Amino acid sequence: MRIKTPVGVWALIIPALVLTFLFTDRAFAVPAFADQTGQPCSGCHVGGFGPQLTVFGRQFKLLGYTARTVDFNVPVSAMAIASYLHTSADQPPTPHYSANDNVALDQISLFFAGGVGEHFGGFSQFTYDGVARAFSWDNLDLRAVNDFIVDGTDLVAGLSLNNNPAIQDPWNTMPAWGFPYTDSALAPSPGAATVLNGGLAQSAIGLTAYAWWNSSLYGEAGVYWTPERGFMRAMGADGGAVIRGSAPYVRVGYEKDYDNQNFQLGATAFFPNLYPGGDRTAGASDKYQDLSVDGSYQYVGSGGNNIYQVNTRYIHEHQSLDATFALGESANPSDTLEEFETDASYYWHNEIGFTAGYFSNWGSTDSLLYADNRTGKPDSAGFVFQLDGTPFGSGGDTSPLGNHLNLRVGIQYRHFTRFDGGATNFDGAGSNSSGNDTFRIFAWVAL
Amino acid sequence: MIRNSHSLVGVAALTVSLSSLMAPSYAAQAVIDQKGLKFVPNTMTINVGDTIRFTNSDPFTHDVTVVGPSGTPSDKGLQHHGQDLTVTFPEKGTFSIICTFHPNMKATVIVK
Repeated sequence: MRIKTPVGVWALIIPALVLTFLFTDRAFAVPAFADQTGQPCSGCHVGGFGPQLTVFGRQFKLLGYTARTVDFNVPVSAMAIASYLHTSADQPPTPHYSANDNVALDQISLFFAGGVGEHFGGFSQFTYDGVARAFSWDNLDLRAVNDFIVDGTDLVAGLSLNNNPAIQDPWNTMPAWGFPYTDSALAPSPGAATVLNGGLAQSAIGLTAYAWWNSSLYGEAGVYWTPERGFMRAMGADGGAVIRGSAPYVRVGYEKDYDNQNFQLGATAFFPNLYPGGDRTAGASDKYQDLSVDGSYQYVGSGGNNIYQVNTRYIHEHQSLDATFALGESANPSDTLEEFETDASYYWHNEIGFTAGYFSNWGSTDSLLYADNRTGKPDSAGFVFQLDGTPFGSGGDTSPLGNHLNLRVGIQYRHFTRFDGGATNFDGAGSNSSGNDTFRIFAWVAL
Repeated sequence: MIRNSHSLVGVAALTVSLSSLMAPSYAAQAVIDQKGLKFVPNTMTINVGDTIRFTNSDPFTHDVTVVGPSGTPSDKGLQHHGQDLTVTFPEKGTFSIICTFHPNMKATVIVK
């Protein structure tokens, strides 16, 4: 039975959306935030662009995007990403595209973002998917915060209303803001992923409460639920798994900041009960237990001339597939799925960066759940390399339009050592994992 | 009357001279606050040996760094919300004050 969204929650969502639309500033790698804070993009972002946050970027987020040095600024930003994609082997063609060597407008996004007073702020993103050729809501993070001094120590307490578990997280270790920060919907991707790894992105609403003590100790707890179908349809995000009732989410973290470096350790737990594909006919739901540990290290040196960062996470997922098993879509009543990802990056003067990442997932053999995989295993692994340049973005002085024109161009190469259960003939039709290797050239603009 | 005045002036002058010889000299302390992602005030003139107390009214962490006349930076460490930091200026010159976390936070201290 789907839980209806309580009236009180809509009373919170709708005014927050209206306030955000009316009063907030621009968006991500977000020029409006730069206008609002009077700081260049590099004040908040490693590489002067994109979602990788600095110490101040994390504090700005946890303090509800409220920092402001100007009385008013236009609360709208835009972003577009276009790319050329080549895969080692031709792929089943996507409508409107060829089997290989495609140039695509990956996405155009509109942001409403900024702070209202000292206690309210957020951003909401709406995206046109150039591959699917459809509009939908994208990331949402609306916050109410307060800041206290308790026994001489700083304490930030807040609420986040968001639409993707961990989208509200201040670190870049979780999947929502993890590397690679841009990807193509035309690129082949493994079939298995944990729920925490985008399984409920934009298809759930969450309300979490958090506390940030002494800029170091972080605790957060809340719940996620599936909004009513009419709302999801209006947001262009209908379909997918539906949460039974509400799903608890708990996050803890510890960060230690030094003058020119910082590190972080964290853990996350998420327990959604899901109707697979929204199907309630089995009279049961699948019960997931996602447990994650993560860590990051950031060295910014002096003046941000040489910035190094490492992000790592491991997610263990236990799946009690009561509904899927009853529907005859899994061979086992329960499975496990493991994910490990790590990346290391270097940025020179916030303008030229190189990132290398490794990803791997593995888990139970299930001949029905992974019926398309010859081995019946979910296993995939590989490497992602990215070289990018940000001629406009590291600071207002580098761009002819200051903070209002940001540009990153880059090349990305992804190599699969395993794909959907194997390295060779993974689908039983002769496909090899290396055939899904992709080479991508992208341009990313934020206005 | 005139004689009395001369005497009074002489006594006063002697008192002032003795006071200046005997009293210890204290360096002054000024305050620069970090508020709204700005140094307030953002320019200040002090004497050699004076100190400046940097306060942090922002909810953000700041990282005061003093750049001397030679261009050499000296990082004074992190300051969380509500924490103070005192910096002594023992030499003459013009010093730039920056926050490494917030590139557009700048102040100037002139030491005479």
